Amino acid sequence: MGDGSDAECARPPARRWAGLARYWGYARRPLVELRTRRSSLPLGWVRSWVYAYILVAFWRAVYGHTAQEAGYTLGQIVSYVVAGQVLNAVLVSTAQERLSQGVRQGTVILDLLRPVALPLALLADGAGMALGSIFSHGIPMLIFGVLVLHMRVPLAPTPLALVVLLGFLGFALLQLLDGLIAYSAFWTVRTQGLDRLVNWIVFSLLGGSFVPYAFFPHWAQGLLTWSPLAGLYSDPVQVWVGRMGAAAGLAAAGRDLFWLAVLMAIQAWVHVRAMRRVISFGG
Amino acid sequence: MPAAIHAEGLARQFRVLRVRPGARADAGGGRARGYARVDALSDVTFSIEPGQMVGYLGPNGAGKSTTIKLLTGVLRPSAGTVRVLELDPCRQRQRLCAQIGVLFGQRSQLWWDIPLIESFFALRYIYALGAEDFRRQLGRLRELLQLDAFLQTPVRQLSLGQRMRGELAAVLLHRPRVLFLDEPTIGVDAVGKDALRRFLLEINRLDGVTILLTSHDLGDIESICGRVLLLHQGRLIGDGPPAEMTRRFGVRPVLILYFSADGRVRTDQVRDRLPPDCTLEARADGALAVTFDRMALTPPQLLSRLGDLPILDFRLEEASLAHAFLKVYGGGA
Ligand SMILES: Nc1ncnc2c1ncn2[C@@H]1O[C@H](COP(=O)(O)OP(=O)(O)OP(=O)(O)O)[C@@H](O)[C@H]1O
Ligand SMILES: [Mg+2]
Repeated sequence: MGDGSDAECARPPARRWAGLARYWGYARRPLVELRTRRSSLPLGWVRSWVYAYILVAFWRAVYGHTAQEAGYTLGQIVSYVVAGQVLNAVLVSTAQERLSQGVRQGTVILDLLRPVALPLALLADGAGMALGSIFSHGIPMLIFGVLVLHMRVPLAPTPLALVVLLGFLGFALLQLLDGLIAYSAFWTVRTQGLDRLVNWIVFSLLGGSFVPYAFFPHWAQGLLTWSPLAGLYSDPVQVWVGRMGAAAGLAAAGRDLFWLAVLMAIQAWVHVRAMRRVISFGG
Repeated sequence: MPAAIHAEGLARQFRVLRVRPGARADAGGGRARGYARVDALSDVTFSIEPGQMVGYLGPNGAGKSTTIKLLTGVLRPSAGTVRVLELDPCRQRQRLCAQIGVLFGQRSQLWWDIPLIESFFALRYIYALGAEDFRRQLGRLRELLQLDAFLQTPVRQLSLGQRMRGELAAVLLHRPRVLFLDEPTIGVDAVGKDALRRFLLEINRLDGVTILLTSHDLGDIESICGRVLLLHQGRLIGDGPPAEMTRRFGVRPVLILYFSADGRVRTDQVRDRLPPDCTLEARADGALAVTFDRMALTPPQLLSRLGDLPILDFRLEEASLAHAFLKVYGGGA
């Protein structure tokens, strides 16, 4: 008797791609949710604007009268942190929230009762979330950054294309990294509590969202530049502010692809084991 | 025709942490004393034909929900084999899911923060339903389940009964061939229950949907299921039509007799006129409850034997599944 995934492979390619349309069912949820709470969006903008403003004020204070720190001018560092805030819109993942909550409350079995692959469903959910937040969060932040904080924006085609490419890869990396943490819920049951802090430290701080790698100690720079974390904020933002050229940007994209392949393999391995361990609570 | 659901020697164990008193159960295995095995289900074998409506009965913790999870591929069996629509639920989960519907009454599959109708739209994509097909089935369910009043309401604002109707629509949109319902009437009032029962009979009759249903309301099962499976501590202890189950477990009808107040009737006067296997019980309201064996004695025969006593009125209480349930699981009569 064939395995489900074997049967999947035996289908003609056209049918297989048509199967991907199923995941739109997951991707549209965050978009619909966004629509239903559109009236509360302006409050969110104001909050994130104030936050960005404070970050910039912090860097202004750090710089004082110094012209340059670690190779960054004040103008560059301002653009850097604000671009990081814009990128926040894309770097969202719902896997941890959905999966760890799902395992604890037993709702994960409902996702297993759908004719979809769980990892792809989680990915679709995250993609819908990112798509929504580009409009609800990214663009307002971009406008505020340019008009109020005097952020620099890459308008030449090459850096622009590179930023988009690296941003996309960063999104994919985050889904897999977040997904791996999320899958740990099948073993530990409980992954909450520390989560927020750990997420913040790992993804934002070590990803290079508030402080460029150039400010980190040398050994950490070397380590981080090779890790998948550099693909989250550091690379796309460096291209954004003009600190990374096309060649270095492409090399970074290559490293991202390598990590994507590695992480996908790990996730596939973990997924199979998680499915064997499914215990559903309650009921 | 092959069986819609077939389980053979089905068993499932759970590992549960034995935690020292005072240690926290969720703090990892550190201070725990080790694991204990719990047999949630042992050696369960049954087969359900396409189009059958079967009630799955058992007290709390008997293993009903566990069985449903095993049949739908969510949990792996520790032993035994399962076939649903000739598929192996665990190995061919995705393919099976497209053809079955599963409802867990205490868990919502609807998306909480968005209007009910949006959950249906999402399911349309997830099950890859054609536009026309979806429109037709949704129209039908809207009518049968009377959903129109709250289609645009966010799910979190629905009442329990409304939500349950929404849940039922959600599991039927893709026209499943087999339906697993785990306590679908939980928290639903009498009117709502009646509507749900009629709805289930309807889809069973019109679409030939096979239904496996668990409920703690025995009325649910008695009124719609032609067959019940009785589960006790993870083992199957009975399988057959509800009436046969009540007979098999020796549950008997009761005739309650009211005598006129002036003609004092002694219990032994009644006893003398009846066969020895009838039991008599004097009730607080002065009436006499006679439990008899319908096979040996019909109610008219019984009454005619007592014809010379001053009977004012009588009432017949049929043996119900609820009585059987109490007798089997409660240890009482
Ligand atoms: N995840 C789990 N871990 C450990 N034990 C479990 C787990 N799930 C169920 N059990 C045990 O398995 C047994 C059967 O549980 P199940 O939920 O199938 O009962 P049920 O018949 O559905 O009961 P109810 O009528 O209360 O819903 C119970 O003893 C329960 O404690
Ligand atoms: Mg249950």
